[in-house]
Amino acid sequence: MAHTGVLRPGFIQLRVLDMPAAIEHYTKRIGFHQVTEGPDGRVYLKAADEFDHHSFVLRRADAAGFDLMAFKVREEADLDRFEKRIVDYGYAVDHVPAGEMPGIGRRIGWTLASGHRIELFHHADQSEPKPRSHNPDVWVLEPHGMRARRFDHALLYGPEIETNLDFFVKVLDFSCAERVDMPDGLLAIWLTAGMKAHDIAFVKYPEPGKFHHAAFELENWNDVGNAADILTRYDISVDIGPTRHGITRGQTIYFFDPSGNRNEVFAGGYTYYPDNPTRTWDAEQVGKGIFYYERQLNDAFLSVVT
Amino acid sequence: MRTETAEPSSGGKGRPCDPAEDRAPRRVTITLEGHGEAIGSTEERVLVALERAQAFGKLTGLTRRLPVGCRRGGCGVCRARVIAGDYRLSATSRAHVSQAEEDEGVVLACAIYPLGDLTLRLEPKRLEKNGRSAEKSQGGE
Ligand code: FES
Ligand SMILES: [Fe+2]
Repeated sequence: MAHTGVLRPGFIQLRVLDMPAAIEHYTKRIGFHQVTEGPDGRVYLKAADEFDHHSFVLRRADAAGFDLMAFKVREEADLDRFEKRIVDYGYAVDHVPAGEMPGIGRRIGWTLASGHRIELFHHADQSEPKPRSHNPDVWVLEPHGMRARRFDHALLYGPEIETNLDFFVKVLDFSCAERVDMPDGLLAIWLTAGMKAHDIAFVKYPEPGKFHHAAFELENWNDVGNAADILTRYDISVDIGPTRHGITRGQTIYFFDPSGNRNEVFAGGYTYYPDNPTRTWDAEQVGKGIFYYERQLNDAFLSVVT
Repeated sequence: MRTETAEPSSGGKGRPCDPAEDRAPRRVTITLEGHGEAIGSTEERVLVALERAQAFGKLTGLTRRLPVGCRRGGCGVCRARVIAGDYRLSATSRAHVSQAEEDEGVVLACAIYPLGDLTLRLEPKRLEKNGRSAEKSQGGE
């Protein structure tokens, strides 16, 4: 088995101000399904094209933003192996028992230098709707809304992203697919555990623990257009797009959920192999790297976060 | 014409959204103190009316562009103080407006709907502990 250790993003937990509005947004517009609501009021969502119990968790709170992101590891024993490496790196690791989230086994968690909580887990029950694995149709339930196929990645903002880079590469065995270097240092990194162009990304920002966006994968550029039609039809707040990223090459729209958390729909993106060089961008070309068609950053890219 | 004559410090009165209340839109005038007026509606977020006014060149003398982010009360860049007029509040992140500030008329312009004519001024967050101000974080020119 070539792909070991950390496999991919498992789920993200976001804070929302208005739970019914958030559920309507993520189920009817994004195209996810509600799996269940936990006893503490957290709501668990997934795409019909995902096997595991959930990939998106909503928690009602007074302030919007990011609670945590969890990655799935290949084997149960990986949790102990990674715990040792993370502790050796100098971070305190805590343990979340199985069942703290419905359908998810035990997790280990810690806080990055950028102020974000990251977790690892191995076990996830499967839940309906999910793809079939014998003579499978392309879908069991016809896709609806923006037709999101999975929770794909997140972009997080915080300080000390040089340390995040070092940690993800040395301790979690990620690769850095792309980076932006400004005259005053590292501005942004795109990190992958597998063959997607990115699973998680960070941009340097003075305030710790901030959230830029969570992205949903769509099948193609036509579906990005369909998503744009839905955004206008339902008067959803749009940041930018449809456009493309030079970095990752993904076709994209940035928009906001009803609590002001930024979402992205994302199609395409190149295949990353672990022997590929890190692609680098400089201050003169970073506009093209972020928004390939506009060739400049918009006002909101570096400043609007939750 | 504004009908409110409240003292600047008393601010406007926010109240929670009531989905059951009458939602027939009424036209209102939104004044951004010192910069101009926007035509808005009781069924439209104040920031969106201001964005439209800016696009039509109705807002002048802003040192930077109108701060627009999520338009949904989460990111805080559109922080403002209502000087006169009533409004209703929709979801607003406590990270950007405390209860005490809310009581004195500090709002997120994207998270209020006017109940009548309204006057407000932009009020970016003061310097935070990390030395970065919300004003600076608006980016742009
Ligand atoms: S624009 Fe984000 S809170 Fe108003
Ligand atoms: Fe993204």
